[in-house]
Amino acid sequence: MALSAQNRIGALFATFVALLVVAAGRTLYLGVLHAGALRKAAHTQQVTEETVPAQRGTITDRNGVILATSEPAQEISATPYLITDPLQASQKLAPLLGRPQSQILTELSERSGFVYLARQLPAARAQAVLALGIPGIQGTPSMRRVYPRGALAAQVLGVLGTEGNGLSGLELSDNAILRGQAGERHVVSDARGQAISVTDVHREQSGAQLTLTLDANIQQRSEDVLAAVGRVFHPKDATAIVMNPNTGSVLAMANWPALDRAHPPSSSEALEQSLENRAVSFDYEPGSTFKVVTVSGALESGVITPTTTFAIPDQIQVANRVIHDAEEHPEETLTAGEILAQSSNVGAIKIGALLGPERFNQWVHKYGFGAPTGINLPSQEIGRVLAPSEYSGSSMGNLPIGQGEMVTPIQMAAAYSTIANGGILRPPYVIQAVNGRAQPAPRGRRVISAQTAAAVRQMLRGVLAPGGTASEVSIPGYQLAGKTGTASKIDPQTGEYSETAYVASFIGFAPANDPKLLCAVIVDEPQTGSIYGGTVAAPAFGQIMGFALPYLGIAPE
Amino acid sequence: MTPPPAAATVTTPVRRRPIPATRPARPTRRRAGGAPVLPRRVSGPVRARTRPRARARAHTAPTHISHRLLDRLIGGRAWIGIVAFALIGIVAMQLWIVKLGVGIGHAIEHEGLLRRENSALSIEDAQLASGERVEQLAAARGMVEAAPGALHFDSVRGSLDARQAAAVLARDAQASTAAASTATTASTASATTASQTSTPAPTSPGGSSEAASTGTSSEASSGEASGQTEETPGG
Repeated sequence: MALSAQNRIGALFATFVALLVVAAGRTLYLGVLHAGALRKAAHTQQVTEETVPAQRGTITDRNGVILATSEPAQEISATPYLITDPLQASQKLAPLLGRPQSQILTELSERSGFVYLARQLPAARAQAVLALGIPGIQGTPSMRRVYPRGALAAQVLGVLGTEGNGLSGLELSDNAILRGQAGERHVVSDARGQAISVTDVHREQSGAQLTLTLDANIQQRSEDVLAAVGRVFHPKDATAIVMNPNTGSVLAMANWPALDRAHPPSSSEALEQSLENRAVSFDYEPGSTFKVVTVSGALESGVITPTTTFAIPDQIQVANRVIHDAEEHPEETLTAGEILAQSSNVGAIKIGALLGPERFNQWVHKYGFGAPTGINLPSQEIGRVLAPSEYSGSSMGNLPIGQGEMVTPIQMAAAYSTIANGGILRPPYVIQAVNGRAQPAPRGRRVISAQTAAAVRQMLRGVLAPGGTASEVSIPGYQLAGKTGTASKIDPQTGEYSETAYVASFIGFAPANDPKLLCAVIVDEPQTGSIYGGTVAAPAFGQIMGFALPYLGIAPE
Repeated sequence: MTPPPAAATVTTPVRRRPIPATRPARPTRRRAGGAPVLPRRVSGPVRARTRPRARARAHTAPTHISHRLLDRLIGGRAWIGIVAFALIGIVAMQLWIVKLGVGIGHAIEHEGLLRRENSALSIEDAQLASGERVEQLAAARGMVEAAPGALHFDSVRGSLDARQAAAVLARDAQASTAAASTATTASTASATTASQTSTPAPTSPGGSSEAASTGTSSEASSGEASGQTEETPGG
């Protein structure tokens, strides 16, 4: 009996020893012989270095209305050779990815190692995709740009590429401060994939928040008005700028045709056209709106006064060219103010002749033509201004009436702001604050005296008064001032001024005595109805200002 | 097992050095085999030979105590408890760190969720605030946009406006006080009349209607008063 018990104890001991030996052997195998591979596998399965995408900076209007923001998203990709049943996988994925099943099936059936199934999929939908638990389908965190107001100010804001970098507008010009910096995170997960240790290698830095000077409501109204102009006159394109002439802050910068962000044009040419911010990139001959430069330069130089009279015939010969007024009329005597109000070409040429080429050229440059305005927007053109040495004999018959030089709408708006604010040329700007810190308004420089500016403002009131070229435009209670322009375009085929292609424009401000708001409307090649600035652009000016003046609480005079 | 012969041990030769005659004899103990036994060493610190006795005593006493404590600590059962407690503590701390990591993981997930929700809400807010939508809603409710000329702006006249506003408020307060006193007088009078008549006093509905009518008149009077005062600034 005792012997039997001893045997049993011996057997038990032997078993334990055997188990110990097996355990030791296994430990040796796992811990020493196979340690490298297992460590590598564990590292792959448990430790991940995650890239934490930076939130691109939000762009808001001056009242905090969000114009562009970013939301978390995921890049959904697949490793096709890991997917055992592509058909079933494509059936499940198609509704969540919003793509045809056949496309997904084709992509999953490819014997490749990597394929994107959806870029920048909203996070909620991406979570639903990953929750399916299909092996070989993975998500990479990213950010998705959202423009809650759709096409509003699309050309000013711009667009992003698939890699999240700006391609146009402010998204391009301020990409460096908007994009932020992606972070990196070290995550150790347990067997169930639950994070048990999270360490930030370096934290992500969100992009800067831009507060624009734009006002979403004025911008919306400007775009609506331009859309109406587009429907009525079928122009090639149109642009409108609304700004505070006293500061240079731009309240609206509208373009037509608008960019449909949801369904962008398929052709690259159409896409490029719809992305173009014509307010800064459209080079055009300004026509009669440029007469303000001639008249104000002559007033400031002291060669005329507002009451200086001129004998104005129907036409005038300069070198080998004969220039007519817009309408036939017998010879009449007009003051400088009346020349501006009635937009007399002959009168403007006579005033230009009194200035002479050198002084005229000086005034053109003083008003900032032929140079960047300083606005912080990309794709800005600077126009084209001839040097006096390049003048031909007939140049002084063209240039004073706005032919022969190229300008941009924003240059013209800045020049008119100079007259509206008492003679100081201020660079227009669209960024009011970065991360809530107000940006200092750019410094201006005096171009004309306050007296000259006031005299020109008084003259420009006549344009909207009875007998003026925009007499049909009025806003009850407000005194308006401005200037129409109807400029022939050069026909690229013949190199001569076209008889059918015009640029109709109107630039004005209100209240005339103490201007607080300025609006420029430029319509390129109106096709139907009318071609004149007074009938195409001026009513649009009236509609935009009719909304913006009371909206901003600017009291009538 | 035969024991070895006793003579074998006796005959084992032992070589000894001769003891000098001048050295005093030292009592030595011998083992059973005859080998000398050295005196037993006493445990404890080595005494410094040059150190004075008093200083040595002052230093050695606490050392003795700490050693005794240490001995008891190491030799006693408390040590087992301490080690067990430390081991449990280490494991608990490890678990706590893992739990903390899981918590951080959850917090980061939650942060992501909140960020998503925040983005979605701000986008929705911007969409709902769209001027176009507001105009459509207003048009659906029969509202029309005011023509620019139809709007009137009040000009601020500094302290004059403030004085007029103060006067209006004071007059309003006076009017309401007067109306309240009139109402009190009227209710007292009606109560007197009711008590004088032979008809039983009306129950609460009659009373409340009377009070209500009084209240209406007082409200009307105060309304008139305020109506008059409202006209003043315009005039």
